[in-house]
Amino acid sequence: MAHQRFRRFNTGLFYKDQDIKNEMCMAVRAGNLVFLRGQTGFTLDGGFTGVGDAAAQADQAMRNVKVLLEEAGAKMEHICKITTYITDRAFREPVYQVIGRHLGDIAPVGTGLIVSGLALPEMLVEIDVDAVIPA
Amino acid sequence: MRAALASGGALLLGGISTGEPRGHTPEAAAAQAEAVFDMLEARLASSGGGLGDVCKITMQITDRAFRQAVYAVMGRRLLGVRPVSTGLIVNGLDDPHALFQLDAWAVPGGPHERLRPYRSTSMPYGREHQPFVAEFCMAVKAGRDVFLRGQTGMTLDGVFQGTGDPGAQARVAMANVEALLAEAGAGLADVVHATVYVTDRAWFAPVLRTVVPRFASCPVPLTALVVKGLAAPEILMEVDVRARVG
Repeated sequence: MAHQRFRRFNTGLFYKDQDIKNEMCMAVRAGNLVFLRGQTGFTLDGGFTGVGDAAAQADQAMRNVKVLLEEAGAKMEHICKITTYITDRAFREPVYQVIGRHLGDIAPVGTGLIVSGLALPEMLVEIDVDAVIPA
Repeated sequence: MRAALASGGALLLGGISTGEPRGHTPEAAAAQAEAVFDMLEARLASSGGGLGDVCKITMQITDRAFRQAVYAVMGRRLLGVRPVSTGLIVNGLDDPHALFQLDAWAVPGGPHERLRPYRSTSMPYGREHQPFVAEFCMAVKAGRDVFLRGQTGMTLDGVFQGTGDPGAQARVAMANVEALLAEAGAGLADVVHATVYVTDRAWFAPVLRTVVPRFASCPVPLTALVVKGLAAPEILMEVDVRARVG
């Protein structure tokens, strides 16, 4: 069976100043596995929230995660691994507090990285989520 | 950090690191790496598995100067396992005292199918030969799951192409991805997630213009990151692909 792909979009929607126009999607469901695009301060409609505010961007990213998982037939409690990329160590505390509020007692595996940059300079945080729907 | 067992799927062991011993030296990094692999073994054992289940590792260091020391430890600790590997140099890790952090994906029932095994000493990375001994492979097929080594401008024959040209490196990397998936009995339509690493924001445009159109008929979720460095300074991009045969 072909994998299910959710919310196909063209990258031109997000990268308005760059000549990159590609067909992508926001989520793939492969059997009981769900993979998401790295989520940021971009809303699912392509608006950017939280300029200069890493916590607000993380909050938007986690809201997107919930919507996308549910569209793919999964739930927040099915999250197995979360990778958090930030562009400055100073964002760690505010961002992790927001993520913790959204995760509650789900307790996934976590990896945290401080990187030199994300797709656009105004992005301060990106969150990658893998989920498995229990058989 | 915890290990989560995905029902019937991969065991995800993420963000394993320690800030001990302190210091910013290759010796401290090597000692931390020994402790990290102790933790990896303990977590695999506690879930009823072993090192032979390990399919993919992502090695994260904060300074290229630690690479040789950390990889020498990895090569010894994972001798005979032959995982696929991605290596990143990042600005920082979760623990401010950690010099090395490991992500690992394991699937119960190892050793699994390991395609194109090689030894670090017989395979150049970038233009240099690697000064540590480690055994890797290019693709692991564990049941329906396919894990690939992070692909770069290095051809599958070990020739580095596209020096100074991130778009050319991306073309080699994607040709490798397609060839390796085919050897593992999969195709681009089976890809479930891709991560693109570049060493400079300016490389996003040429790299994504090459990578993403390959997925035109089967769009994938993509994560794009700028990192401090990859395995060798001349490597400007790397693409990591995860697939599951449908």
